[in-house]
Amino acid sequence: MRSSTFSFSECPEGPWLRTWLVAAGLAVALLAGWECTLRGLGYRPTVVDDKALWASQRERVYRDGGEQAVVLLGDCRMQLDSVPQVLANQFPGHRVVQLAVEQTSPVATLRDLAADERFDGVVICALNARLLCEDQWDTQQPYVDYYHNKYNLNEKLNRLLSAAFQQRLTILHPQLRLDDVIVHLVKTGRLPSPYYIETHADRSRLADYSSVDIAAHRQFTVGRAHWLCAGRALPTSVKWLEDAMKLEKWVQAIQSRGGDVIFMQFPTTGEHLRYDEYMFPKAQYWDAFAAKISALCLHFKDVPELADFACPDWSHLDRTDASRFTQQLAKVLDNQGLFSEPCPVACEEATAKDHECCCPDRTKHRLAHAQCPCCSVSGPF
Amino acid sequence: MLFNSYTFIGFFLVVLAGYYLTRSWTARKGILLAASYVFYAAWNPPFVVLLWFSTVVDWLAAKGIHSSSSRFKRRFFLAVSLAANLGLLGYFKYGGFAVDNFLLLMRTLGLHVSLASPNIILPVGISFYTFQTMSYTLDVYRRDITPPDSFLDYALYVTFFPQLVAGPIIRTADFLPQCTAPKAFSSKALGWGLCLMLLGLFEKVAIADGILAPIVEAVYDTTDRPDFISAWCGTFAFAGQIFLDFAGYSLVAIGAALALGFVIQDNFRSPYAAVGFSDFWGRWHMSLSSWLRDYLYIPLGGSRKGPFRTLASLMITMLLGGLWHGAAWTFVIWGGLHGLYLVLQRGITKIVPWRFEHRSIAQIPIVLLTFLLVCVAWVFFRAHSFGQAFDVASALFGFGPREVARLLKPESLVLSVAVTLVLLFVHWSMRETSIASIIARVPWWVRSLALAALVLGIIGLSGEDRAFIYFQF
Repeated sequence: MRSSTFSFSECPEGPWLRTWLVAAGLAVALLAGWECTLRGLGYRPTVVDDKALWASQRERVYRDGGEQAVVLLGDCRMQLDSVPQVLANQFPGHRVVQLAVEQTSPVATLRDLAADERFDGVVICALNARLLCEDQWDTQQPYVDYYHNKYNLNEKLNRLLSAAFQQRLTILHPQLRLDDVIVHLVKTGRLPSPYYIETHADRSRLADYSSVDIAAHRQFTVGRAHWLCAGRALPTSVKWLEDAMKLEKWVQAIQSRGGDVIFMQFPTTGEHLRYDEYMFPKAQYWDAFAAKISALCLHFKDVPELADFACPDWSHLDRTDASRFTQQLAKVLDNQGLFSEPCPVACEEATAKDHECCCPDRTKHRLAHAQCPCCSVSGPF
Repeated sequence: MLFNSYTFIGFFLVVLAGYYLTRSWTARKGILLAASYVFYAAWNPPFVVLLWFSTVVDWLAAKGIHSSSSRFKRRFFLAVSLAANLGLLGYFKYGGFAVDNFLLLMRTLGLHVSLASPNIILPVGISFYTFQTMSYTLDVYRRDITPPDSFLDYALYVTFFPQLVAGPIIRTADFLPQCTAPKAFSSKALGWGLCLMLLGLFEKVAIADGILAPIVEAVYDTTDRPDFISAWCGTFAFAGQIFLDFAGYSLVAIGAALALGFVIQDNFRSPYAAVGFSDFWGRWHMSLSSWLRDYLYIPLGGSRKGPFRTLASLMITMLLGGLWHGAAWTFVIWGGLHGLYLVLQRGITKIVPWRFEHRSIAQIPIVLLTFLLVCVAWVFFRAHSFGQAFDVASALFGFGPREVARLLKPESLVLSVAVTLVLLFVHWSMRETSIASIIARVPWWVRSLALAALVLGIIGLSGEDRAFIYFQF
């Protein structure tokens, strides 16, 4: 038997420079043609949302140059319904970090941030009763483990380059792999419709439901909600609350460092909302949790500004509503005094009603659950 | 740093430019050595210390062996080298496995032992570079080679980045002579080396990861039991995936080395066209199988000490070869199955006067039987547990439960079978030839078309980024 590459003498002869130049030119021309065709058909570039991209955001949660981080945790609703850039515009002096991961519970990430002594930011955590069931808590742990054990300079640089290409080139769209496109073409006689979700390098996502089969999506989201609960031994509301209250120590850890935690239930509508209510009645689950936990809890149904958004697939907002929803959310949070501007008045001038006290560094603290560091008055106010 | 990453492309271009733009040969080797440490540190910087440790210990041990005339001293230095390398491998790779099995044994005996299972991170490539450095001291001990005078050359032999983390495992006698004379720039070597790198990336990124990995995961990364058809198609897909993943890595390694002017031996020669299992191991992961032959099978007695000793040596070699792949009993079973196949083949060839050397159509059934039995063994290699391995194996032989849902979609079944048939055809066609000899007969513009097609395939078929399977070993 011969070896294919064992000696130099076996290297094929030929005009290798010309061969490579023609190959490169041909490849670029074909890829450019494919790119133009896809764009002409309405496809747009998207960034692949993987553990490395998550880690690239996770490392941004620390205070930098006086900027406090606002960390968004949750599942797909937090990613599709909130627009980090809108929040950042609403709250100057804060950096918004998107750490939500679809189809997972944010508890593992909350636990990790609580254990991280360097973290002193504000966490806005999208939750629902199902994601608070203890058997869901570790679903984001692989992301946390990747960040702590594998994410390094090489991974970071590679992810940065990947994102730079992916957000510019449609041909790198993971839904447009050649074999998938060919299989779709053979099955249906046409190219697949442009994918309705677009992911950006900051992990923000927007969904465009204008051209999707809404009925099929609704059936899918409700079916999925049912599938996620079916066959599982769901805890009783008492056991559930007992487990959920284990989050209190993590909330307190973050608050003790000057940060804060807000739990939110994002909108669902139609059959999905009815199914959620059937499986986890709000009064027995969410309201009981909100009454006991020291963090601020907001359920979309209890907040008029957030209550009337329509979810096209009964579970997520369309891109046309996501910005408006985020603006409303920012307004609600601002009303809670979470992201106020530097205090214009001295501590002694502040009233009990709007107790927004100035600290020596003239940063206004929300005092709903803490003691004012200046005048030692205790919250909530 | 993965070969299939943007950072590697940048890294390699910088190294290539720095290497060829530097005039001094010593400085060029220094660039390669420094680049190799950067390459390794990209995974986990502290583990570079282990690489230094292994390098220095074996350098000193080999010097000690070479300069000693007494048998005792020579054995002492050899023992130091083996203890250091096997100690590293034992602690990092088998530490957790040993503790878990000890605890299991104690529990089985009804004894309560309180011992925490150590949480040890496996340094990437440790199995490869420890075997490589051990072969160096063993060769010096056997007086097959003389230790080199240049520590730089030796350190480069241990650390050379194209093959550092997943082979091919190179031998001192093949590599060190290449370090003596400066490498002149060769457009032929660079052009062909880059071709091999692109072909290897295509095999890995487009076929192994893009097409086959999702099919394999649908069967093996689930708790559902597979049906007969899904079990076979999932296992065929894994047979293709592991070959294209590892052979793809080897091609990139060989190509990268060639682009830098170094020649590394082939690691695969159409293994799925093997006629029987001796032939298979002469074609699959050749650098490991020749290592095991030279440093384990032959020292155990090989075929020189009677039939029983031969069979025992074969079995021990294959069991340890299995364990080398991973710290789990499923890998041992995989090795054991191959050992059994080899033993049975020896028995059969003693009874049936079948000659395998000449290619003929009559060999096709034996090639197919060999492939199917190799696939059965792959089940134990890929399964997460014995339970899963037995579920898949039962399904392969039609003993699985009747009322189970099909795990694979129709298009996955078609893809799996199609890729397997193409792979078998290509291996059969290329049994006695090489990629280089085929390309040598092809006009330049056809090469250009093929290269452009490979680029399109890599970009158009790439799926989720996955590490090379053999990195875990």
